[in-house]
Amino acid sequence: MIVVLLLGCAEPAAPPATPTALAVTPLPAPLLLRRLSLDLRGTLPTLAELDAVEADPDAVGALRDTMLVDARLQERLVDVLAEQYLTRADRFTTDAAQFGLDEADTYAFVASAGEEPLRLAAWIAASGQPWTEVARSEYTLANDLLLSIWPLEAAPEAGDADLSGWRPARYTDARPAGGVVMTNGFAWRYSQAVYSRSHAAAVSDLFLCHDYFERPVEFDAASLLAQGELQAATREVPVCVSCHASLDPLAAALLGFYWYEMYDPEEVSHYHPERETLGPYVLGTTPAWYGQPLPSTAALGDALAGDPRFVPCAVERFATGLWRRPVDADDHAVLAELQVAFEAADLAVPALLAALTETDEYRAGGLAADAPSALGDRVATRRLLTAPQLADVVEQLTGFRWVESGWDQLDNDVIGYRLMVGGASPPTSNVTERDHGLTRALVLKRLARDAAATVVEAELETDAPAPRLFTGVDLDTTPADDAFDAQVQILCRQVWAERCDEAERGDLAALWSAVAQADGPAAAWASVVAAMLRDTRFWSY
Amino acid sequence: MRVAMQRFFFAAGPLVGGVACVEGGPGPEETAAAAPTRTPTAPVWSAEEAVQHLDAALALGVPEPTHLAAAYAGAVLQGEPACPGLGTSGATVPGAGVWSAECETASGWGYSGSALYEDAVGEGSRTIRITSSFTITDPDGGRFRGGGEVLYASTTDASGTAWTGQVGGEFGWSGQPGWLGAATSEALYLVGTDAGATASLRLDGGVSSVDATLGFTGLHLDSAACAGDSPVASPGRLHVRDPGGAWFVLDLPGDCTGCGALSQGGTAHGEGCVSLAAVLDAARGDP
Repeated sequence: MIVVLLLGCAEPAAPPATPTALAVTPLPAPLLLRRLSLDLRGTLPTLAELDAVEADPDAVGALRDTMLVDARLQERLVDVLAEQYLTRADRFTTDAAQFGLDEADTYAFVASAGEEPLRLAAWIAASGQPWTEVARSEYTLANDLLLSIWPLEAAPEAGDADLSGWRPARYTDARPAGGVVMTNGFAWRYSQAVYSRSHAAAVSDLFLCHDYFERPVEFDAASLLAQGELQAATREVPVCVSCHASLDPLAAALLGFYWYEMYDPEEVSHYHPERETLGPYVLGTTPAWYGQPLPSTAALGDALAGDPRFVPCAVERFATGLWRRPVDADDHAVLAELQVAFEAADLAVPALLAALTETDEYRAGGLAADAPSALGDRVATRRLLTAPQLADVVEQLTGFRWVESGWDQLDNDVIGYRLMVGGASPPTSNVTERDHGLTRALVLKRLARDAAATVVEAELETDAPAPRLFTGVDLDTTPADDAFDAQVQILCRQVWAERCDEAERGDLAALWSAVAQADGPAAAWASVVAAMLRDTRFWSY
Repeated sequence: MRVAMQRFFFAAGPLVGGVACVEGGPGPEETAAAAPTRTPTAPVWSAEEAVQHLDAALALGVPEPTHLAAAYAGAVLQGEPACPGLGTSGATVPGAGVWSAECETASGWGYSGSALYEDAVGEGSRTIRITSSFTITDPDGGRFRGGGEVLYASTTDASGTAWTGQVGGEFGWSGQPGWLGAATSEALYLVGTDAGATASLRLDGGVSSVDATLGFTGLHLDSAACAGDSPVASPGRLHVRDPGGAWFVLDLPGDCTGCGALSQGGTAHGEGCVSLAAVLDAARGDP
């Protein structure tokens, strides 16, 4: 294997191969619109948008372009990046009380710390700044809570607050500019391993797609432990050197985040510039970027942004986010084309997203008749709604947000169900599920029940000024009325972006009648909505 | 085999030719590095300013474990039985023990957080450990921050005291003289001897103060080997960081002076000289 890799270096880079068409069938326009809307805005399409693409399927393109400049894109990218950055941890080494916050702020504290690097990256991406800023920016994004507890000051000259109140800010503790890498949220998630090595490995993985943990090294941990000198082994034992030769110099550049007391709120919130010189003492090396000496940590951002792996990795990361699967060698040609488009747009992420949504992979709705059997294992022709998508869309449809004691139930695993519904729960589980399962079905059942009851109570049992779902019926409407059938069709389009045929509308009417007979019309409508929310056409896209 | 190759190939970033073409260092699959496009980080300070800041900061001395422990003990002994409620079971040194509090005394001392201070004095030996996350406020408005770990171990015989120490974390007490009043964050590893007439000190790590951030790499002072105020006895380095994050480095050749070649980012800036007299005082510990 080594021989092959070395030979590869000696050859000039081959021109990208022309992508071959995937053996897939495209989604119908309304479902493509639904996919785009969920991916780029985190919402379902409106009935007017569905009308537009039903009348003219080509209207999808213009609607997609409006989504790419929609303020909700930034919110959505927070969730897309969260699946990869894995900074939304439920616990950190310090808690809200240590910062003088109320117990009621515990969830907000945890969520804010975990979101800081995501908000910064999403801001850079959605605003069309060159993606290199994710490694170089002098700013971060902060909300009021973080501004009150971390060494930050607002930077209004850099931009306005986003839809959630996060706004540009800068650290005041002498840390160098360095984008996401230099944020507290990123450091809190990754700095706890010995001498910033975990932090360095995360930088390499997330921004270079170079995962040290995937390296094909084999060693006998027991015999190394028996030697007792692990630090020396990192510099002397060949199998250890194969990673640590480049990992440790990178870690040395991040020692400003090294903590001596991980439970002290100021120690873990402040950057410590004097520790930038600790490399020779604690790691036996000075800061360097894959063999190139770094004069200071301040040079790290430029080194990262200038690395030839940085841009291709960004393409891989966003492709993974929108294709909803890891990329592999078979994607090489398509990714190379995407990179060309990305670079032509000066590394503006909206342009990359636009190109991604044009790919066969993105638009796949099913396998072609002649598709090889293995293709079904690779291409996601249907994608599961992620935990944050599910929470947002259910709220959009019904007004229901599942919150208990201030904790969003689909956004944590302390007293919530994020993991059960298929979300990652870092650091214990770092994988977002791509397949439906029993625990997910259980959470959906409960979510659908409460959401349906909420919207029925708000819109049929009281007079909602602007109903979300029930625009044409009241509790006296029955299946014998034309308005009933029209309302069911509206529900089909709003929840599934599909028109239900007569038989399916009949099934829903039968469900309504059976429940109404036993428990009344409010329960009947709630049952219909709950059934639709538990249907695969709602929770996949 | 094909699957395994693909997996590794992508982990290494094949789309631009693979990590093997980019990395340097002695890894078995690593070859010559391709130079990243990089903007040099321009220093904010001139060379002269860097030396001035370095010299001024060194004049304050450097944090030292026994001095810090004495300051801490003095502060915690200002408390009352219930504030901070120092638990002294087994402790023989005043101020040693453990507390966890959020309180203020009648005399105006405030205690917030927690601390453990152990100080074991034996026959010819002493060990100190402070593990803490506290803020103590004094009646004059001074703020004593202690978040981190202080370690010290010494042996004493007829020839003097030999010791090792560490000050790691955020330790500093605003309003106090010298380094204690200026320091805000430390990562210092110290090895010292005190033979009365002579002393030596080896320093690694760094310290940040309100005015400057310093670093030490193998700085070795030895008044037995060298005369004068800056007895640099073997090659070592001093570093000072400017406000933009650029490090100036003073390479001391170990010629019994505080003078050496100054550089920044690999660029030579002539020679600089500093006084290290106050730094050597740390070798003698708390008087």
